[in-house]
Amino acid sequence: MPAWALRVIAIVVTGLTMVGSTTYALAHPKNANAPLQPPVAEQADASVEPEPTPEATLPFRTLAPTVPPTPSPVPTTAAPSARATGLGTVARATASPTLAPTPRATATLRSTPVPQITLAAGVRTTQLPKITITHRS
Amino acid sequence: MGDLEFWFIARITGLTAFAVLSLSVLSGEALRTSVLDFLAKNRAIRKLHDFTTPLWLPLVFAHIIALVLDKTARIQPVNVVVPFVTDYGQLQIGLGTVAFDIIMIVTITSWLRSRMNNTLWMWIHRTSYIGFVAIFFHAALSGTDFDAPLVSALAWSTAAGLAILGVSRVVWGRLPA
Repeated sequence: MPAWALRVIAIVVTGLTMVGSTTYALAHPKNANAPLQPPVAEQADASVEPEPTPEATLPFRTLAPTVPPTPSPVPTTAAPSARATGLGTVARATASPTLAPTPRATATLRSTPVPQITLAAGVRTTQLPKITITHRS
Repeated sequence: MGDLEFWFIARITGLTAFAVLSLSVLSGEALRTSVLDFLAKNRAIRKLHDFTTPLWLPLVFAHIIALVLDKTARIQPVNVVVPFVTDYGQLQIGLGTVAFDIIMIVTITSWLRSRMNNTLWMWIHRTSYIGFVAIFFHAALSGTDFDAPLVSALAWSTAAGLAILGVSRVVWGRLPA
């Protein structure tokens, strides 16, 4: 085969590969299985908040409802400010932080969680019968 | 042109450059073996080998320039010549840098062959095998399209064929026609 024929074959192979890879790349713009993912893409995925997982149901019905504790208010403080004097020096911050009056924390009732009993396999819970008083001493 | 266009250009030119570089290595190995004797004489194969350079050279440069311009890929100009200094994928991208450095040295020394010591030129030219191995693992470890069955099959079979040829050349010398 002459040299020019081999060159033509090389050009044809190059052209076919380019056309094939263009077709494939345009049909598959993103590949989630790509071995290397730029960090920007990973950060974008991480910024998406994950869906909240459903709470696991308790195996037993709790006997007492649990009330979530009310959060106590946090006192706010004003940041000290500095003023520049006419000489160009920064004055020392003299403003003292002022505290907002804290409201008295009200007593809140918090129920303690019901102790959970882990039963062995094959053991079932049963409802206790009502206590009937039959005698009065 | 946005990042997506540069991304497409990088992938297309990367795949095509890999194919043409495979052809270059194959024609180079064929010069030292006799596997393509049925196809053409050594003189014609030598002209083919030389002809592949202006085919893969613009593809490789387009691949690198597209990645440098792609803000998502975050390839700095220094990463083009200095390997293993990117802020992610040091090995995968570093292998590409090593391959680029090797094939550029091989190409430039080939252009200056008449002014060089022949033995020195030959040993530098043999590093193109190392460069091709680096290209292959750069593509396998970082190529977006390498997990596509067709691309993977073609690439692995090409690499295996070239590896067998290369090992055969080293072990048995010039293969019989």
